[in-house]
Formats: sequence, C-alpha cells, structure tokens
Amino acid sequence: MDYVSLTKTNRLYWLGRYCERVLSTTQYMMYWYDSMIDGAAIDYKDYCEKMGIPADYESPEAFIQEYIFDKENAFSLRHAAEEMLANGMVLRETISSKTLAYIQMAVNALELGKNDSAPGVELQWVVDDVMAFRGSCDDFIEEEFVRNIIKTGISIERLSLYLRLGYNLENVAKEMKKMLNRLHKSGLQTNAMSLGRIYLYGNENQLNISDEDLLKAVENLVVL
Amino acid sequence: MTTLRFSYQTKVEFSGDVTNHAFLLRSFPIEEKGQKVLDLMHTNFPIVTGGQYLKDGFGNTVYTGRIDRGHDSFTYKVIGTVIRDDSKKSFEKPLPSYRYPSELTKASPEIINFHKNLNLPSNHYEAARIISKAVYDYMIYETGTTGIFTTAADSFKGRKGVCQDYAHLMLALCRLSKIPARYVCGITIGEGETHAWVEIWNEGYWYGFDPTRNCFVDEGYIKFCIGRDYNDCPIQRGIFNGDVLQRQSVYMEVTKLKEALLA
Amino acid sequence: MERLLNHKSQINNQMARYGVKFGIYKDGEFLERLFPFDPIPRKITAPDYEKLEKGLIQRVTALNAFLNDIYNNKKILVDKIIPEEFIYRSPGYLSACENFSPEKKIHSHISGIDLVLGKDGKWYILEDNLRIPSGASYPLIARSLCRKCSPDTFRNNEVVDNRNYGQLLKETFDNVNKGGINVIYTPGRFNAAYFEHSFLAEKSGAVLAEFDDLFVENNTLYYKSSKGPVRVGAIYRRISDEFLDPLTFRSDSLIGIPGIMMAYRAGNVAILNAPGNGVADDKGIYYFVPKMIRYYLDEEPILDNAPTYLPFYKEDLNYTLENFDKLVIKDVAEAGGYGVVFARELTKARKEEFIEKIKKEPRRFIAQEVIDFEDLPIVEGSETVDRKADLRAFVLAGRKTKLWPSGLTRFSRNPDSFVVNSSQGGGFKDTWIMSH
Repeated sequence: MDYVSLTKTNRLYWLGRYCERVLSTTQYMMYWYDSMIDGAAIDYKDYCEKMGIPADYESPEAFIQEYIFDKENAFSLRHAAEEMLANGMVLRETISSKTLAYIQMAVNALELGKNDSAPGVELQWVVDDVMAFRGSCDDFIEEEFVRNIIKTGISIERLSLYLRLGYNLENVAKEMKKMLNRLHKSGLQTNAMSLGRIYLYGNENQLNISDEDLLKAVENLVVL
Repeated sequence: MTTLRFSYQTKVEFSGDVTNHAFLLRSFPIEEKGQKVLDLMHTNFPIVTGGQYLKDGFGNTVYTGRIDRGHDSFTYKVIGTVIRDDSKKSFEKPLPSYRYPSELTKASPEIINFHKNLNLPSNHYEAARIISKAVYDYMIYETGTTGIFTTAADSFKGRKGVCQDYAHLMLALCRLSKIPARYVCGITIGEGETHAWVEIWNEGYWYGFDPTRNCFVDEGYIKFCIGRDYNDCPIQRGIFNGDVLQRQSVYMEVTKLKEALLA
Repeated sequence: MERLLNHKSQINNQMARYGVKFGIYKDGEFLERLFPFDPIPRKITAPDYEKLEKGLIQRVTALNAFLNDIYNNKKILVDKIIPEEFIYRSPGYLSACENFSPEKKIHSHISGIDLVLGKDGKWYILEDNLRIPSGASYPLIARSLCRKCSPDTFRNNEVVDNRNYGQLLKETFDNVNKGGINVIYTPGRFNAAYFEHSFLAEKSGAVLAEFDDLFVENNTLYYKSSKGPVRVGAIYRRISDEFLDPLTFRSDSLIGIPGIMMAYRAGNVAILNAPGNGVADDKGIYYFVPKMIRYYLDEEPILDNAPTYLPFYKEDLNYTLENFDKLVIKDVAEAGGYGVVFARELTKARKEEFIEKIKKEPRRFIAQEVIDFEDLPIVEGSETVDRKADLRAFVLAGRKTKLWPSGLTRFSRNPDSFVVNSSQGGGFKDTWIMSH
C-alpha cells in the first residue's frame, strides 16, 4: 500500500504533464530540425504566441537551439525536462530508482545534445527514454490510482498541446475519451464546470464549443 | 496561606482568516507544595480539535491543540482557585542548566563589569537581594522599546525594558555568580497583564524575587511556567497559514478569597 | 580489480544515469553536482573489521547511555566525570528534551562515526555524528553499479554484501515505531543530501514526506494521505533540531512540524535521531567519550580517539600553547570542516590572534595531534595518485546494535589537504569488507 499525500498527488500529476510536454515538444522539434535541412523555417513567432510564451529569439535557428537546450530559459524544453526530473525525484519511493533513471537519462541526453551540431540522435534518445519511463511506470507502480494520476497528467498535457497548437485536432475526441477514463480511475478532484463542458463536448457535437473554451475546460479540469 | 481566585484570558485577533492553526499554551498554575490548585477551568474559542495536556522539559503543563478551519480570532480563558503557602516549599535539586547562561541571558562585557562592581556576598539569597535591587535601580521601566527576543545584553545597553527584560538581566547577573536562577512567568494580585520574575535557589529551596517591582515574591504571585529564560517557556505560541496582522489583548485578574468564603 | 578500473567511465555513466548527486551551498547558492566516485575500493580485512565492529558498537552504546543519562539522572555529572560546562554551554543541549527517555532509550539510531587509519596501522576516531549523518546511500548505490559493470571483480574477491542497508534501516525504524507508518521527512530538493533522502526511503520502504505532508493532532503525528490521515509511528527527519518544531524551537522555521515535540514527549511517535543529540557529538564532548565507555560500560575503549587536549584544563592548555605548531585546533561551535585550523598553516599575526582567542575562551576549542593517516590511491586520468582518505562507518541501533558492513570512504581532492569532507569538494569510494 503506497501512501499518497496531496503534495505527492500534485507531483504525480505534474510529472505526467511535464513528461508529455517533453515528449511532444521533442518530437515536434525533431520534425522541424528535419524540415530545416530543406530550407523550411519554423514560424517560431506563431508557435510562441500559441504557446503563450515570449518570442524574443534572433532567428529560427536560434529559437531551435535555445528553446530546446537552454536550461536558463524558463519556457524551454530543457527547463520542462528539469521540472519533470524535479517532480520525479521527490517521488522516488513511489516510482522507484529504476524508473526515475529514465528521466534522468532524458535530461542527460538533452545536456549532451546542447553541444552537438547534429543533435537529432540525442533528441531520439530523449524520446526513447521518456517512452521507457512510461513503460517502467506502468510496470512498476502497483497502485492503479497512482498510475492513473500520472496518465491523467499526460492526457491533459497532450490535449492542451493539441488545442493550443491546433494540430491533431481530429484526435481530440479520442484523446478526451482516454483522459476521462484515466481521470475516473485516478481519484483526482475535478472542477464540475469544466467536467460538464467536456462531457457536453463528448456527447453532443463539438461545434457547440470553441477550441479556446475547450482548452480552458481541460486546463482547469483537475483541482489540486 | 493565601487562597487566590484567578481569571486569565487572552484574545488574539487576526486581520483576516487564518487556517491550520497549531498552538501551544503554558497558562496553567504549576502544581507544587507551595502552590496547590483547587479548581481549574480552561475554555477555548473557537472549538479546538485534538487538545492535549502534557508536561514539558521543565515540568510546565503544556496544552497543545489546533484549529484548522478559517477563523479570525482565538480566545482562551483559564479560571481557577489556587492555595499559595510559602511555608510549604519543597526541597529540590535544581537543574544544572539554571547555573549557565541561556540564549537570552548571556552576559556581555558590560554586564560582567556591572556584576563585578556589585561586590556580591557568597550567600545566594543575600546576593540575589542585592542584584534584584541593583537591576531595579539601573533599569527604567518602559514598554515598546524591547520585544520578546530582546537579550539581557541589549536591554542592559538601552537601560529600558519591561518585566521580562528585568528578569533576564537579573538571571544573567545571578548566573555570573553561579547562583542557580530561573525565569518565572505568571500573574499577580490585581488586574492587568501577565508578569515575569525570577527564582533563585538557595540551599535546597527556591526563592522568588521581583526586580521590576523591587520586592520579594509573596503569596500574591501565581506561577504559570518556568525555564532558563523566556524562550524556554512562552505562555503561548501559534503557527498558522495566512498572511495577516495580529493583535493580542491579555486580561487577568487575581483576588484574595476571604477565609469565610472558604469555610 | 583491474577490470573495475577499466570500467571507470562506464561506472560514472551509470552514476549519471541514477543522478547520484550531492548538493552544496557555495556563496549562498545551491549547487547540485555529481559526487565524484573513484573505482578503487578501500578494503578492510575481516579481522580488522571485527575489531572495528566491536569498537564502534561499544562507542555508540556508551553514547546512547550518555544521552539518556544527561537528559534524565545526570549521574555522569554528579560523579564529575564530565564538567557541567561542557553540557550546558553546548548549543546541542536542548532543555526541551529534559526528563524524557525515548523508546527503548535509544537516542542515536543511526550514527555516523568518522575514522582514519593511521600510518601506524591503528584506527583513530575523529568525530561522532549523531544527528543526521548522511552518506550511506553513496557506497550503497556504487556497489550495485559496480557489480553491474564488472561482475567478475565480485566473483573473485569475496566482498561482504552491503546491500542490506535498507533492511537495517527498516529494522531500526520498526524497533522503535510507536504504531503507524515509517516516514522519512525531507526539507526538500534544495538540501545537500536530497538524493540520499529519496533513495533511503525507497530502500527502507518508508514514505518520503515533504513539508505540509505531516501534521500533529492529539499529540499524534499524521501523514496527510489523499485517503485521509495515516498515523506515523516513526519519523526519520532530515532537518536539524532547531527547525524541527516552530512551537518549541525557532518559531520562524518554515520547514518544521508544529507540535511534533509534544507528540514525541507523549510517546506517540519515535524521532530518528532523537532531538538533543547534538550535546553528545559536540567536538568538546568527543574528548570524554573514552571516559563514558569506562563509566557506563565498565570496559576499556576498543578504539582510540586521536590524542586530544582540552585547553579547558590548565595542563592541556599549557601543552597546547607549547606545541601549538604541530596541533590541529578545532572550534567546538562549528560543524562541517570549516572550523578546523592547522596551526602550522597560520600566519604569525593570525597565530597570535588565535592563541589569544584560546586563552580567552578555552572551552570553545580542542587541540589534537595531527594524525599522519594513510593515503589511498585514486585514479586520475590514466594513472593513480595518493590522496588522504577517511571512513564514515554507520552504526544502526535496532533490536541489536549493528555496524553496516561497508561505509563511506571520502578522499580529498587537494593532494596536500588533510580535510576530507564532501562539502569541500572531495570524492568517495566504496568500502569493501572482505569476508576473510
């Protein structure tokens, strides 16, 4: 029997969110890394605006480098990875050292990639490590509700990114269903209004609700 | 022998709601041969959960409890009857720590100098009498210049303070003479605020001195708690969540009970 | 052995994988860095270990008896074995612990005793750490990783397994548990031994609690689980006494647990290690530990202190002044290695100033002979070089008091330094107890 305090619940949830943020963002950036080989440039101003973060970068190239690797930049991928690790660290006895090692490795890979002119390999490691982490969580954590707190965080973050960036919108309904299923098993407290909106979205037709309102409902769903 | 009826009340008011309030009180008469408690009633408002009485390291009765839900004031009241009898002191061995300076009673070079000039006799009781008078003469009673964490050295420098500072200075001086001495907090006949004084140990017995009033402690004094200094035995401490200002009002009353009423 | 050396980089990769970090405060800033690991182990033979085991258990047993005596009957003071001064002027003495015996009279549940091996082949005790000694997790994880990188080394060397530390810790918890779960309480990530807190929680099966996870009600400690309050029977707290309970100690402590001292005195929760232990691992009290062993156990000390002088005693003061240059002077008030002064390294002016200080406050200092202790080889680049090294041994007082068959060997990074302290930038080695 694992004892989970509110602080711990909070950390588990955010561990899930940061974990997904690292995974999705890494994959997104890998895509742009590849596209830039052919001369395409990422519209980083648009990206930053959608993400609601400052866009003070010199060039698309500078954006890619700093947004991915700069530890000091509070909005960077690297920063999200550090947050993921910080939350994981305090959960060691819940998720085990073995599991924690994978997110430590993801952070180490980002550190290595920083000085590599071809960091695609390291970014692939980040993806591998985060996926391994998720597998290890599933395998190691006995308590179903604990697993589902992390997974709810993952789903919420994924939905949040879809809705913010306006991609994969066709998968929102599917992801929403997955999220509700996990939320139900997590024992997390919810905001009734947000939950109502999300049910409405699922049952009725999605035209009734704007992406923006849906995003708000998703972000405010879990009460910690 | 004197029978005293007392009532002590403190109200702490907060400028907004506080939550998760954990607190501790030492506002109960000490039980000893010279101070018998006949009856005692303790009430709190709002309602406290998990309240418990226990002794601390000095033998003081400590009440701990908590109020978790939001509240903007906390009042506790202790009423009771005490029989004071200074002819019934008990023979005691003092804690050795009463001979050594504590955080608030460390002697500064100035205090050491002051102590030297007192030319104290070797008898503890006599020496304490001189110290008490010297402290009374040296200090000027003034509220607002010192706080609960003011050291004897600091109030000595400013020459101003309240009963707590008088007591700390006396303790520092006694301990320089290796006289076991302790800080006492309690209430005295009359009405108003709590008071602090000093007890010194002489050949097996404790004797009270009140340097603030330049007198011996008599049967009109009720002891609540003792320690090496204020830090060891605050009458009340609380920790809570909430960024608020607090204001505290203390009211106590001690009256002598007529013999006839007792019979 | 050689194989282990060849695997140095692999081992360090493994360390990075597990984030074996040690935090330090430098210039007010918190830095987390990897604690450098050196693959060449310190080896202790079976007969040597046996002596250490007896000696350290004896020492910890006496220290526990001392702590219980000081806070209760004070016989050792009445019999004038230790001058009162050394107790009541010590910042480690806590009046809030007076007149109370913790469960089974154990005050120091986990003791970290620092020793060095002199060039004369004798072990000398340098320091007792009875408050929150850290470091066990490092050799513990190092061993697992080395076994992975170089299994043959362990097949051939017959090293006593040290991976039972978590179990020992659990037994220590359970032995004094007053009913409820075991908790390790950490002040949070920004603490020098954070890695250790979480690692030991995992290994001992305790719940890692942070600030705000615990509260006291009815003089009972509870963990705020999402399913309601769960009673805590034993708490291994990794914060110092002064911050432990804002209702009793520093009222400005933001990391404490209000009311825990009264819960402890009510006998409803065991605190590991007990509050007030600072009075026994004070550098001044160190001098008296051999006397404690004779006094409480009626035995001769098996292990020696480094020859120590107390300027508090007239003849020791004279000796100290006459032999000043060859001594190391320690400030009793300070911990962490900063208050240690090698007299021969002082300038003339500083020396005179220091001597005045000693004359004025003799009780504040102890003087020790500089022990010429052994060097251990460490790998630097492609060669090995010698560095000073000490050993922190861990004694756990469970149902029986036991010495953990391993320990943290720390070495100084600076070739000329005698100070081996992880907060001053050294590294560590595993400590192997050989089975014969």
